[in-house]
Amino acid sequence: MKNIWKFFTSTRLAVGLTLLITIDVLIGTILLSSSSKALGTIDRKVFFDWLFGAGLNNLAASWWIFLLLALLVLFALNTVVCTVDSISVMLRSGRGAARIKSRRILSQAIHLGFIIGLLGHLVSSTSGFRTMNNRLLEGDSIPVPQSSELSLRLNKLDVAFTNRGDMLRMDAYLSLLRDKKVVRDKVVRLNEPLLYQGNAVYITHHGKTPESMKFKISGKGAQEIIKIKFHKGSVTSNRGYTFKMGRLISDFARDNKGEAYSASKKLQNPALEVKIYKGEKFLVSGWLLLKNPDKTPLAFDGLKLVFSGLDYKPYAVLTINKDPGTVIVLSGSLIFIISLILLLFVKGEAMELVRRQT
Amino acid sequence: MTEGFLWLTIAFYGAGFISYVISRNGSRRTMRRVSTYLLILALILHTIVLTLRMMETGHAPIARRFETLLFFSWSIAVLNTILLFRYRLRTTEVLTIPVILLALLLAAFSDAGIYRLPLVLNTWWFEIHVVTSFFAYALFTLAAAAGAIYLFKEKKGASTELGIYQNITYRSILWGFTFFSGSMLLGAIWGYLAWGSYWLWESKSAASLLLWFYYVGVLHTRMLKEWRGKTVSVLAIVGFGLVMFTYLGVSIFLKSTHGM
Ligand code: HEM
Repeated sequence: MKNIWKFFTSTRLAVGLTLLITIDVLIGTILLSSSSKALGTIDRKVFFDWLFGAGLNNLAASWWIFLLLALLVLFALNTVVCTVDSISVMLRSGRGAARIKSRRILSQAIHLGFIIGLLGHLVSSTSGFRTMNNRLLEGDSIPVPQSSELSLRLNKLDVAFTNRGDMLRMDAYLSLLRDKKVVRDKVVRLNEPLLYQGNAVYITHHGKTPESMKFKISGKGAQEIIKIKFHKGSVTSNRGYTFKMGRLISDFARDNKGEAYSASKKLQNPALEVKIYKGEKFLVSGWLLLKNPDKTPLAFDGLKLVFSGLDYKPYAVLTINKDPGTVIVLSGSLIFIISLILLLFVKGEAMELVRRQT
Repeated sequence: MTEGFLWLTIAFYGAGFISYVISRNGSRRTMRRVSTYLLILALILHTIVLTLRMMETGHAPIARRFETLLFFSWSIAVLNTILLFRYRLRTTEVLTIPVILLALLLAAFSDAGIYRLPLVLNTWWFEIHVVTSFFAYALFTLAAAAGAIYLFKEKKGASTELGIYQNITYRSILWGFTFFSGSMLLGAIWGYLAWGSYWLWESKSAASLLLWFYYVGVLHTRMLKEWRGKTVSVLAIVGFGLVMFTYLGVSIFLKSTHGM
């Protein structure tokens, strides 16, 4: 036991391990770029989920990560043992100039920061979740993953480009709801996620998807636009007519009996069947050619129905993550960096880049 | 206009370097003074080039290779000036000015086009992340230069000055390591805000990780008597190679989502 402890107090071991880690990660750097297919999915999941899933199946590209893990375990042990050893020596001796003492304390605080950071990273690598490609339509809501009561609503999406097509902004006006009550409103944009109780919501891209078909009704001295949503399939107009979507045909043709059929699988001459009702009463049905809408108006009750295009709805694509380790990593890093900066200054002459020449 | 100033800057660094080398052969004080003025003028011109570039692009000059080369060499020149005024020490210039000149020449032949900054780079996190990393690179460069001079002087049998160069190497590595750790922390915070993760497995980040561990090791060689001096100097020079790999090698030879 004593021998093992002694082994891990060795500075030689520490330096040797850092050199091995350097060489291992050097190879890893090259593999990360040359094996992007095998390693490309690594950031989509919680690290250990990936490592012991896809990582194990792609050992030719991922072996260095397993080696890195092993080296890091040894190095962490090395650091813990060195730190405990130094602190106990410091406590026992208790003597020495104040400057040397504070230098020693800071060195050990640096080691401690590293260990805390590494532990935090272990938490990150094993817990929480990562989800990409959460598509959210304007006005819609989606549940926050792994949470029974939280959901997200996209109130508005504001995207703008320059004349040359460079993106100027991509702002998602989001509301976070708990049991349908808003707990946080936030404009999420690049570099500005919504953070709430460890959940983090990012916008990654945006788009538009057709949501409904628009039709114009004209006649009897008035005009009306109606929209039939795809997921509903019907709508009732102000004047009390109900319009229902029927069949959709990709390449419209009629046979010798006048029956509609598709002449091919290509989207050459798409046509939509629309059925019209007044109240419960069926009035008429007919085919609207979507590429030639003006040629195929559907007449009913002295009025005319004409297809007038698709209505698109914007959506945001969100990444929603939760990483409980982040706070620990941040705490460790702050202890590390603050002690390191202080060390530069308490070391007396070492705060100087060079020993001053007199 | 930036290009004109860039060539002028190169000319001044070149002239300053030549006059410094001449002045070292024998104690030609006037020549040494001339070289000091030339190098200071070169730094002023260099600063003008950076400022012009900033005015042209509207962001800190750190977003493309052309700009980072200008900034990297500028950081080294600033460091040289600190050494000159605070410590009256110039020997390391024999090696650091050639690095500045090489970087500037590489910049002169790089694409200097002006492109709109991608939205995700439009943040202070990015700017301080890059600025701190280039100061770290400059300090590691200085450490390597002092290491090389140490080896050279040791071979020639000089012993009184060796301590100075060992000190420069060790302390600039400690300073460089501090800047580099700061840069990695800032990058991690930015990554968390921009992509949802403080760490991404891609080649530039991995190269930074290896550089960080490497210098952790070098810092600890000082604790071992038999590794002080020669070994530390050699490690500092190898470190410069790793810095170049991380800074330029990754983006030139490897695919990385990190850019630059
Ligand atoms: C990632 C891990 C580590 C980091 C980041 C780290 C960093 C540092 C830093 C920055 C210093 C101050 C250097 C100086 O004062 O010049 C230091 C000092 C020291 N480190 Fe480490 N170190 C690590 C691991 C280790 C390990 C594994 C050992 C065990 C051999 C070790 C032993 C020491 C000792 C003995 C000192 C000098 C303390 C003193 O001044 O009394 N370190 N470390």
